[in-house]
Amino acid sequence: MARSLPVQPAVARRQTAQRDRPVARNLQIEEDPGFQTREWQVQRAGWAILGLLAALAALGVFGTGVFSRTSVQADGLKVEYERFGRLRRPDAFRISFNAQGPGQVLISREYLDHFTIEDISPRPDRVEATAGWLAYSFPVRDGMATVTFHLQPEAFGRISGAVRLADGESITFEQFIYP
Amino acid sequence: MDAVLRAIAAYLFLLVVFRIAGERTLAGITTFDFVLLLIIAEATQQGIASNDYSMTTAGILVVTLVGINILLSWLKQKFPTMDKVVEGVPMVIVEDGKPIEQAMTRARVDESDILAAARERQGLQRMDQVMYAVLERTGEISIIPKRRSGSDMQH
Repeated sequence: MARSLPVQPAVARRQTAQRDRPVARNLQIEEDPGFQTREWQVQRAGWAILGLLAALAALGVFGTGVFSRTSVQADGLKVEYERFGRLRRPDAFRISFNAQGPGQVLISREYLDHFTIEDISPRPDRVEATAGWLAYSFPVRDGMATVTFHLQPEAFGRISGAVRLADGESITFEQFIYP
Repeated sequence: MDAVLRAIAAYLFLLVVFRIAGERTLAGITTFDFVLLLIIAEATQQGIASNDYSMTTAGILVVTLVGINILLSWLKQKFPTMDKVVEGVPMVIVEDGKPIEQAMTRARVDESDILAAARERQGLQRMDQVMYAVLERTGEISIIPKRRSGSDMQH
């Protein structure tokens, strides 16, 4: 709806008479006050959403932050991980365990399939593949030992994992990887 | 496949963010706006190309981005509503030398912006020499000066 009007003095007079309500101007322009108002409303709401997203990101809802870092614990075994991860960004995955006898930790194969292992510290002496599990043997002394895996997610979505000691029960956890 | 989806996602995301930010955000670009733009470009580039440095991926990204742009311009032409949603609408912010305050506040334009545009584009000295100022869809302010003669409605 182009408000194109012929250039006439009559139009000019009417137009100057009611200046506060922009009606027919002597301009060929496609104004749309209704749309403009709605656009502003959407924009204001959009600013709030942008601010909210930034705040949530700072808190760790999209990875690394107070809402993200978490741990699960069972007797003699503790797993620290990020609840939220991001595709192809390595995060630390930490297992603490009571090292008695062989320092062996088993991680579910299904879980590790979603990651590239960037680094493991300390380096395991041995890795064995068993049915559904990868068994890492670490050089440990008696007491509580902590090993760190630097894992880079290669898939996004929900990923569940399980960790257990050679003779213990497994503890499970879930992660969400953002694309 | 992956690169195409990433490019589309990035395109739409940026479209929405910049639309929310408003057309004034990067209009009349200052040095700092330029720096900001470079940082945004760099951040986006990381996301869409990740660590893939192949010519093929670069080509796919370029083709996809240009393709969406063409598609969008076609849609805008076909559907006027789409055009408004994507590009916004122009708005008269000065009429007969009188700034329309309400519109200016909401569009984040102040009188000094209008006066600057009037000086730059038309060599005008004062607000009362402006017949119309229009905030265009690009975020630029266009100025229509008054005629010196009495028939100032003519352009």
